[in-house]
Amino acid sequence: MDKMDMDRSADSSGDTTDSELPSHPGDALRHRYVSTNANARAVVTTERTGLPKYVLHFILEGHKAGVTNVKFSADGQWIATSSADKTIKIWHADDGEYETTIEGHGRGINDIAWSPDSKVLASASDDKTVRIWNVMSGRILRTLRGHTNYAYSVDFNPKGNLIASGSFDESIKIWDVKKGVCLRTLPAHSDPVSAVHFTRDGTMIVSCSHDGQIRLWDTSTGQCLKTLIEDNNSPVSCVRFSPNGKYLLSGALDSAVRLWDYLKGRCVKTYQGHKNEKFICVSTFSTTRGVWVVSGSEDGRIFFWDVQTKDVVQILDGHKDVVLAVDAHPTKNLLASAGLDGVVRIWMER
Amino acid sequence: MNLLLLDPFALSQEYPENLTHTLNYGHSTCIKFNRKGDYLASGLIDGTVIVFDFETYGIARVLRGHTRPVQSLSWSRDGRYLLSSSRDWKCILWDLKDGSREKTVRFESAIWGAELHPFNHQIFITALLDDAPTLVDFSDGTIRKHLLSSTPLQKDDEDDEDEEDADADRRERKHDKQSTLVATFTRSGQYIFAGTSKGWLNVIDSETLQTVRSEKLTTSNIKHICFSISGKQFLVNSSDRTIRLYNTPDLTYVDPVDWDIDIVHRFQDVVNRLQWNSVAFSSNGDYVMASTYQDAHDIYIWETTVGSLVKILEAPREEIVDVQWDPNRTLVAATGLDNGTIYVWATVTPQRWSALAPDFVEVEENVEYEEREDEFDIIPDEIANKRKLDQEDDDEVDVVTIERVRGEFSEESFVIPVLLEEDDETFDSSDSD
Repeated sequence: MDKMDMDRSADSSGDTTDSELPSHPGDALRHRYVSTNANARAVVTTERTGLPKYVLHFILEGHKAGVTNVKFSADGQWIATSSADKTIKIWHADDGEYETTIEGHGRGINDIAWSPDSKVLASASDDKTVRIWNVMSGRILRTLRGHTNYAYSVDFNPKGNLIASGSFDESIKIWDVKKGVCLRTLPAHSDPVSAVHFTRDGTMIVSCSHDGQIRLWDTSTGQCLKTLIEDNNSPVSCVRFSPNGKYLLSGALDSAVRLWDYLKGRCVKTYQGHKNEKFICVSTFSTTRGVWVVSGSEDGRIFFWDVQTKDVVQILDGHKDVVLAVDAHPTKNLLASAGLDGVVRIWMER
Repeated sequence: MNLLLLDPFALSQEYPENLTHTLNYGHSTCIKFNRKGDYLASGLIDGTVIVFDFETYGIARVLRGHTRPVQSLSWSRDGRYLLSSSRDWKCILWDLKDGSREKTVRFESAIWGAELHPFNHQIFITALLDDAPTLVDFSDGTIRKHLLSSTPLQKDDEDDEDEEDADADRRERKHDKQSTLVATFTRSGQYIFAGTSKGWLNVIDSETLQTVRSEKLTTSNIKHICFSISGKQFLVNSSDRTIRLYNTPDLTYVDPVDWDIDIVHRFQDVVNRLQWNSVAFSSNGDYVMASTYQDAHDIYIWETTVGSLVKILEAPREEIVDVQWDPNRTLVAATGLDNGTIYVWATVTPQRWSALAPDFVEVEENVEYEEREDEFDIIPDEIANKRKLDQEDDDEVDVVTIERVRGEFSEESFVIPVLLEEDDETFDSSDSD
């Protein structure tokens, strides 16, 4: 077969050359595609979908300090970015146009979460509060006070009536969104809680902490259901459920991203190759075309791994500093990444 | 999804034992869970209908429209619509998406109760005080009322041995004036079971609106008829202080004339000879519960296979009027008569300490630990890691396909949007717990 030349800008993975590529990423293919990169490491794709080919689509600039998190809304129309400059900015997801800035927090913001109806945003900040905002008007709807130290992470449940927040004060609080009061405080960990995430049906919360533990909690009773620890006890910087809720994806400060089967209680896949030893670099799934695990790295690059084979299938260059957050669009082949350089990059796959 | 991780011993508790919550918002007269059991509708004495969110025990919606006490509540199958009937002679169908009134139907007399068709929220059946029971249908836009008969069907089989008995029976069916006090749909919506003031059960076909079968169950008023969630059994509560449990006959394949309406058990309080205010089935149909009249302040729970009394739940100082069992959990809600408080009984499970570390196991007795051969071998880190990583290559992971877990409620249930803007609602919340 001819060697087909694919569109690639200088920003994308400069270290993969592909031969015998399909003309259509969505084709059901029967062949295995083998390609070599500059390090002579064979990159093997899954049998059907081919390699990810993300290229830079646009850049969102405007934040005055490092961007801590970037999230697509549930309906896929908006991008929200939170930053150490105490603001949240809202952008259009299709063309990157800036929409509005939400201000009100007293200190830098660590995490944001969209409500399931994409109308309301929750943010956790170093000012020890979690605030709920109306996205379009920028108005603050509720201020959730109760944490005694920095609020690190926040998540809405799928019904939109509960919020879970993890904090530097080693606890997780479950809040009633409508009344704005704390329903339950879980004495979760013995070190700062770095991430919280609800399952698809809202019955369980997973949390991880700098003490190296990942814990599963029952939402209605607040009891701990399971604890997972990796042998070397390195701090776990982020955790989330897989799209079907059967696996957990965690990133730890020993430069490894792990996939856990929590019913068996053990790690089933380890993804390595990136550098993560100091900062919280978020890792996530990209499932719109192939099934990839994506994570930012402290050297400014973004890594894609194949979920099954654990091979690095793409590396994106472009950020000038640590990439703190990545997020995949719910339906389109879009990826957002943000980091300490204050710039948000949107990558697209045609 | 938490069912696989929960303690199986805790999950096997069949009925609740502890009073866990008290909801105080207005004076509640009747309550009803939706199909999934995550929302509870409560009708107040001033006509307001409140929808409680049972995940937060807070208020999800306040629906104002009735001016007199609410008589009955009925949810649609998908949980989006709620039908309330009130002593102001009106039935209102509420759309819970925004709390608006989808339909208001006025009647010429007071209403005993109204119930929505199990599959179509545009059809409902009402039992009226001074009028015939009415089937209301507004599927085509206009409100159509169809009056149904309260007179029992004439039995015309010839194998009655005694001519005089047959004559007396026929006379009784034809001339005994009676009114229908309660009417409910069967689980498929195919028939309507109506109970009258003389103790007759009339089965009416919901398509043809003709009475297809009548059976005399008791001599006094029938106050409630309710079906179990599976529809296989039904309960009849009547003024003669007895609750009767029947097996539902085969409604689909057998002709109405051949139905066997067999009584399974009679539940009564032989000691105090009390009336029963309200009855309900448990979520799995294995238990029946009923609230007692006046001074007793109790809820009795019987087990249906043998018919024995298994539990008495006591309410603090209040007579219990309406009882409801959550369709998916072991949870019971009941309203009090004097204050209109809603009491919630649930199961309380202690924390399993084995969940706090991956290698903790709960054991019944001391276990001798057997060391492995290689327990104390010193393996350099690189080799140990490589061994672990190689083991991982064999695992197949699927992170995308969604699997249904047995025991979970998997049907689509309407989620009431959370209203956060201050001008959306004005109410002074005075609820506790």
